[in-house]
Amino acid sequence: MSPNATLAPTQYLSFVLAGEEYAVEILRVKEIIEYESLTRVPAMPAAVRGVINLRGRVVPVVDLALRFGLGASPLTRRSCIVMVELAAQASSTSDSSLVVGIICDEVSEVLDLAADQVQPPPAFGTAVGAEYLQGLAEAGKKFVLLMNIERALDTSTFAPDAATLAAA
Amino acid sequence: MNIELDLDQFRHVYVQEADEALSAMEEALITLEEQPDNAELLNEVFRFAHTIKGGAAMVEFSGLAEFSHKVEDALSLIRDGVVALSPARVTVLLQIVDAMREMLRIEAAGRKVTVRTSNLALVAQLMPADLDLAARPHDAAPVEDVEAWVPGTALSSRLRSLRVDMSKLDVLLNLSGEIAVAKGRLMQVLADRRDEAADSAAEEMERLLASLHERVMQLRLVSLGPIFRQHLRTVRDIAAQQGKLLKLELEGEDVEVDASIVEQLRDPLTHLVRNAVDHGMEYPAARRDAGKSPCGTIVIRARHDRGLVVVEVSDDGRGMDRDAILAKARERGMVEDGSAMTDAQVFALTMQAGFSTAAQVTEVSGRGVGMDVVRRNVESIRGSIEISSQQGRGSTVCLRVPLTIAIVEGFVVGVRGERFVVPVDSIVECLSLPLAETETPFGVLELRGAPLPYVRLRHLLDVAPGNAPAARESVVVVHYGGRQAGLVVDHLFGQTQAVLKPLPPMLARAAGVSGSTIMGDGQVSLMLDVGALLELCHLPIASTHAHTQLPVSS
Repeated sequence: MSPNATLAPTQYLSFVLAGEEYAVEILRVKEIIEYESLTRVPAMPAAVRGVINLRGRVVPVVDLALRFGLGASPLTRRSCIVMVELAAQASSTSDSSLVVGIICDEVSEVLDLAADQVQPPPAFGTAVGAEYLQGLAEAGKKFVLLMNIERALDTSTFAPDAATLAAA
Repeated sequence: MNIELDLDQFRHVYVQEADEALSAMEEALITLEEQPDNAELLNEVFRFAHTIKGGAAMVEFSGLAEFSHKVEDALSLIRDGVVALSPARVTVLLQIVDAMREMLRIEAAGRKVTVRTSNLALVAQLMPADLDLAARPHDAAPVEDVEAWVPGTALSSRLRSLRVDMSKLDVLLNLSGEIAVAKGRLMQVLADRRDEAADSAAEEMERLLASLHERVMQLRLVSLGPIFRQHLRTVRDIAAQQGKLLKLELEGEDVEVDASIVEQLRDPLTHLVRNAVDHGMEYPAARRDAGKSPCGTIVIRARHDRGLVVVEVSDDGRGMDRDAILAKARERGMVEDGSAMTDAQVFALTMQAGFSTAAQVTEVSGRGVGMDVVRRNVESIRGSIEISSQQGRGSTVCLRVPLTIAIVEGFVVGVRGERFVVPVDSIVECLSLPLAETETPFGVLELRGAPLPYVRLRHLLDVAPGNAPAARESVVVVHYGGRQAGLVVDHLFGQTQAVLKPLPPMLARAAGVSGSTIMGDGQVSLMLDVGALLELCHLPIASTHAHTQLPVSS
């Protein structure tokens, strides 16, 4: 890390989720693709919408709006899947990092945020719980919530699937 | 050329070859124990020792070179008939092989090693007490011929091969799979165009790709022989320790499977063989009392069967005690009564986690330690395991594993708007669902006079209703663990070669799904795990052997 790393602005990609603007560090974003049909995986939490073929790689796609109880993301012409890279989990046997797609209503812009533009997230009042946020930034005239993507995509905290498997 | 680097490369090759030579030496010694007069084998042992010595001197493994030189001397005494090869001496020679292996390991790690006194004592045991070594001329093997080892020629014709890193073959296989997918897409595009010239060019390409793909698969095939033969030594040693008389027979050593499968079979096989020796086999006196030959036989055999590889470990030991197993299972609350269970089902209880936690359990049942681990290992490569046994006569554990993990012959079915892939090896046949069958999740139909329970996949996999229902549904009859059941689907799309991709960790607990595959049109489809799926629906499944109680269609 360079000595002035804390002073240099960090780039974030902002996107819209259920009417609110969020952002993730751009280094985490692998690519953005247009929404295309997914393959559903049975007996998964509802927020896991399915899997998609990302150039030969099978990648799960998560609807964060559903995961945060904001209702399923409506699919429009502007719907996108942002492919983010998570740090490899200790439990995972493969050495490669984990790529997960998140559905968003639209992708907005790339923001340059200096450290002094970022404040801690508000304790309450946000649509998404504060534990899933790593900060709040003021960009121009609007506020952008910086998402803690690792925590937001931690499936162990996902609500279990409502539709149970046909048994008994 | 950099001499140091060169030596490093030589060392690398030497370590692998010496390791193989030691294994071959071990095998030859075990056979020699039974045929002490086989001069050819003895010569072979001598040659292996000589090769190891020559190479060790060349790559400057001085400890191993010095020790193997002494071993070679001792062996030449045996070869020249000065010393007789008794079973006790074979044991000493096997210990010497171990010592050499240890020295090779240390020197390969870049450390120096000196010949230990205990190892010298081993060699001394091979010598007659009154022999004056100095008086014997070294006629057989000149000491200084370090030229004897040339990299890559150690085992000459036996192993004329090229070593390739497994990961390179993985990349090749993946690529070959992706080409197959891309080809599928191209064929779909071409099918809409009706261009004869393009079609014939594509057909030619298709043929070549199929042949390329097959070659890539063959590259990865290795014979099961080496992982079978490593047990010759284990069985001999454990039997000697425990005072049992045992012989191990191997069948189908040349059966070939994908290298990744071989790796996955190694541990289960070791476990099964050890179990057979430790728990399955009686002591000689007990065997004599039971009217059997005092020497027990364990057989490891492999064969191909309908696209699968079957590996069996059989023993003619005491067999498993059905009643004792059932009693234990009842005690542990795993079954209520169990008297109606088939033998195979009872024996399968020993493979459930938590069946055997205490050592004495296995003394009673004759099996069980870690069998749940074996089962999990085998199931992780989409294999199955079945135990058959007759009390007093012996047991057989039968593993069925696919030839390869990565490529699956799949059959594509449609359920409303979704597609799923069923492994072909689990399909018995496909037929139309009789129109009389009503719209219920489960049911039973009659198949050639026998009842066949079925389940609608739509229901089992929770597929959204509405999309593309078929005019007439079809039944895919599948078998798993000796049972049959029907999966009702809307469409049968036909066979495909699927490159199996594991589901991402986030989805790893998807029930009834063994993985995913990318279809010709680029969409992902899920590969169904038929056995797990049927277990999910708690469906009492018809046994192919006996007519058990069947559920009534609701």
